[in-house]
Amino acid sequence: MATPARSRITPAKSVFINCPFDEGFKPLLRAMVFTIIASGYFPRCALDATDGAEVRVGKIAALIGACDWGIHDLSRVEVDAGGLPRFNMPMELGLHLGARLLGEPRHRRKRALILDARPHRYDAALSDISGQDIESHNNEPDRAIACVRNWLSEHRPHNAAPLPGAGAMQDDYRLFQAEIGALLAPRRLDPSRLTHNDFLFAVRDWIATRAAIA
Amino acid sequence: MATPVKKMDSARRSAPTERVVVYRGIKIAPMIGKRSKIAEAIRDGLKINSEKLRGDPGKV
Repeated sequence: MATPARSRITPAKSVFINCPFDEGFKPLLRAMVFTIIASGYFPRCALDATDGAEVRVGKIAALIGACDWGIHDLSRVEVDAGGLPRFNMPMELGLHLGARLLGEPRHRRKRALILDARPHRYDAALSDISGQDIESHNNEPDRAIACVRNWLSEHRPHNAAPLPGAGAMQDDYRLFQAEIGALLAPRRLDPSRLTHNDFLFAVRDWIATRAAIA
Repeated sequence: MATPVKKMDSARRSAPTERVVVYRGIKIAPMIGKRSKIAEAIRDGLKINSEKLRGDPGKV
């Protein structure tokens, strides 16, 4: 499992991602993961977990507890063919806000970014979240990069180095995709089929390579 | 009688550890864990590409 070293894994540097893990959402998830790593933080999500025997909500709660930052994407909370929306993402957002409001003092510094596909879609359905950081990505990876980068930048400590601009991160992500695609093409491997673990290593290794030649 | 405990293979302890890198002014800490064969191939391919680029600055 690609996780940050235990000694370095601090809640202040950990970003929990609450989103769907289906193929349709993968371009947005991967753009967000890239942005988080390129901003010097660690993405954490349910895909990190390996112990299938553990109760899922327990895993989620532990991850939320270990992260000061949380991205909650509600763009896929829609009524499906069965007439019900997917409640997982709003529930996990509730866990995050509950920890911040009712948990131990260390949880009061938690920050939440709520993402949706379109502005104000959630105003009617979940008005209690007004007052939070809510942004819309329009289902575009470039927009998701800008949302995540700007949110992390806004809440960074004053003495922290400024993050690169959203345009630089978007350009880097395109270059990363092109270079990883070119590396995998001779092996007839599709970059979109990389596992989450492989993707994390690929991002970090790509950044390390660019840092070496910069 | 207790058998003397053999010291661990020093190669294990001296395995290269990855370092923090700085890219665009931001410190990026390493991941730990075991890379899959695909992840290793990607890392190796990136290294080869970067060595080529360093050998030919005009391509950077």
